[in-house]
Amino acid sequence: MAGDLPFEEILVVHDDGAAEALTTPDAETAGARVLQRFGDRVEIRLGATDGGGARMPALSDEVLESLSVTERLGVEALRLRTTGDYLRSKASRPRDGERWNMADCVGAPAPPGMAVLEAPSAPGLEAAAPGTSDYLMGSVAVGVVIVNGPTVDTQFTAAQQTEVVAEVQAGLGWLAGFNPWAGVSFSYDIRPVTISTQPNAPAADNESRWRDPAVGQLGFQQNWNGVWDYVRSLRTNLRTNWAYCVFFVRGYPLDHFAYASIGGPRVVMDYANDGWGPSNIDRVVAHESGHIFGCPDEYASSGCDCDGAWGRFGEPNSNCENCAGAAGVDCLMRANQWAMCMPTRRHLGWGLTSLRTIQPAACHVVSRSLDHLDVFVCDQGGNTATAAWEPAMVSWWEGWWNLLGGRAAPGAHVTVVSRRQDFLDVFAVGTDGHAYTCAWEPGQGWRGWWRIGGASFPQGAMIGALSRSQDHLDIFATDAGGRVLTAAWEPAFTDGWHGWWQIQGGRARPGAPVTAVSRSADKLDVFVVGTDGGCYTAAWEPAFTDGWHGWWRIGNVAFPQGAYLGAVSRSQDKLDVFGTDTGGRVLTAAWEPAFNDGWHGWWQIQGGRAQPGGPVTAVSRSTDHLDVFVIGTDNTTYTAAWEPAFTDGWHGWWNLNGGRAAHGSFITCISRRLDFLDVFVVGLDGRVYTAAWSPGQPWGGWWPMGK
Amino acid sequence: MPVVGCRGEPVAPEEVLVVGDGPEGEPSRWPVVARVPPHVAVLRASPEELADIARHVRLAMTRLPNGDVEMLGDRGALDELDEGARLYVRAWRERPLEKPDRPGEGLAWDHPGFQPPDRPPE
Repeated sequence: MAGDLPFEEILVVHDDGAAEALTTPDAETAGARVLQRFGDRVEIRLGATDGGGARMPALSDEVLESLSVTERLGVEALRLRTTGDYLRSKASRPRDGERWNMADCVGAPAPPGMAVLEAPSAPGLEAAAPGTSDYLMGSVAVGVVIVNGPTVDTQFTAAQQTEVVAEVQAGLGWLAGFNPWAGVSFSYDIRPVTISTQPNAPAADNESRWRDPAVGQLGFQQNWNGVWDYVRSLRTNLRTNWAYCVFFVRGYPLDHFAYASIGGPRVVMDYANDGWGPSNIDRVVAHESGHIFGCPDEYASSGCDCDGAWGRFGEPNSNCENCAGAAGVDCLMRANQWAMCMPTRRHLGWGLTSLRTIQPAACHVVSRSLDHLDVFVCDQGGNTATAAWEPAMVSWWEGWWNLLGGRAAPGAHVTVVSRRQDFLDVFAVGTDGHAYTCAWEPGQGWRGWWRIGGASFPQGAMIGALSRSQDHLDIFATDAGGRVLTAAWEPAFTDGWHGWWQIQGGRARPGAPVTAVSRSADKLDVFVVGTDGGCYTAAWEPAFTDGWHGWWRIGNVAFPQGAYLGAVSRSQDKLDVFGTDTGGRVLTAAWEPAFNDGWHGWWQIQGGRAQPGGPVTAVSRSTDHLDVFVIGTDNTTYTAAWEPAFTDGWHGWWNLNGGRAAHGSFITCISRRLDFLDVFVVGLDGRVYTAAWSPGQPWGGWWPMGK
Repeated sequence: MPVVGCRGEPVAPEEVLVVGDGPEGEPSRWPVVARVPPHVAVLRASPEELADIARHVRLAMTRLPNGDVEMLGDRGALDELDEGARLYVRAWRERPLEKPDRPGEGLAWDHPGFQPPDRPPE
């Protein structure tokens, strides 16, 4: 017996690529109705209808191994349903025979038709199966089933059918167009069907009366499982990420004029659409599709509250009219309007996924064009990841996306540079210790990873990257042997990257970060803490026919070996460098061509202190403006600023909104437009946080990038 | 960017419906917002791009602001579609671009006089 079904089931496995069944026992079975299909080769057919049980032919290992995952699951599920444990569990089914809305039943009331969610399939397998509508990103198959009955009142005219499809187009088109970054694309299966069931025919409920014969017309078993089979077949046949279906009926009694199940698989809609009318089908179908993809209702009488865990990220229903401030904001899940609140966007699965990395760690950021930000990090599992922002994004940031499967040490530096507008080049030391790069170009997307040369680096080491002019790339790092190296690329290098070359015999602790800056077109200046703890610099420009010049030591200050030095050019040919010395003082030094005596400094910035070697990051948001960031001795984020008008020197330190991070963390900073600042740090919980500043506004943030 | 905005009706026909592949292959430059496999797709594109898209497909059409349909290509492609795809194309061509008299515009789903979608809790 297969569970407690009142009919016999027969397993049929077809030969690979052949029409004939391998296991059809007899001619009678060969013509039996197919109840379920799993992939192309496995079927469960209807046997005797006056009893239960299953007929299961012996299957060789060879046959089993030739089946797809779906096909094999079908076989295994039926086998499971014939086991003693399974039969015993069904014989003592909890609350057998009771009504779904019985008293003391814990959980939300089931919508009509939910009863058959208790399908007699193997619970473990069912639970493990991926959902058909987990979140609204990517391709979605949608079956539009227009059910025509035997009477005039239950039939759609040709004009009404057209109207229904047009309304669905409008509603789903709005959903698809709302967030271009979600890449939503609907694939339609439009199926007008005709059934003979009278609207007053006896039935278990007001849905199964017309639904079961309708799915039968579609070629599936005439019950709730047939709906699932239809939806799954849509996903398989139309090759989409997700699938669901919408039934439209006219003139049949319904328990409610429109409803859906959270998570799918189906929406039911009455053509009349209650008082809203057919011209609002677009809004109602979009609303119901929100439920399909995990969104809760937000209008007051739904009984919503601002708690709960909804949608892809399990976030609360914070726009619920019963508890949100000012009764919430405009939103399709609350009212009849084309608007979508931020909680609904999150419930649909848009925006940042969760990401955690180790501490301390660095994230790296680039602005590839005005107001665009791209952030890169290596998570605690060693996966390279990226997220992106631009003002038009409807869900704040989008990401985190796995970056082409790139793997590195957890928390490793993933550095980035933009060599021309909207181009990105990314660098990381892979798990084999070699340097790798990948690239993003408009119209091409991400490509890579490609290995750069044969040099070996300590895992997690930083590869400093710079574009000294359009389409030129220069990278810098200290290899496992302590050699300070550089490599270069430009389009004319048809044989790929050139290098690695050691810069003037330079040596540092293996993996020591090498900071690079271009103070004017095609000029390069690099900085590194040498093996004696001194800050050293070297320079290159095209006029140096003998290659790199240097190394020169900047002052007599000592830094911990391997410490990161921040460097920036605040205007043409001017250089400022920053670091935390072995005594924990936050220092700066400066150079410009007018300094005939070389570098000036070091000066302590306003008494600033940090952990010895703590990274000091710097950015110039406009000509001759400097902003620096550091994690203080109290693990708190601090900033200071300088500009020529400050006749009293540096201003600060200001506590940057109480942000906290581990010693050694980088506060990565960038200016995406004149005088705007965006900063990023890995917080104490391993999430990336961001904060922002613009003229006339206080610092905003820190905002966590993902749950 | 789609013209279908965050608020208001989807006012502008910033879509091009295409039927069948043409000699220059699939028009991959434009995002696909809907498909009716195997022959029909709706691209996010402006009407000005109709001629460019039409080079890649058998038939391309767009809605003009006045609701009219402009077509380029082989209209016979429509006759080869199955019933569902024909219905989709007909609905796309006839879909109202504006709904100035939409009942209950902007009202909460449980506004007095209306039933909300989804059965309210008992």
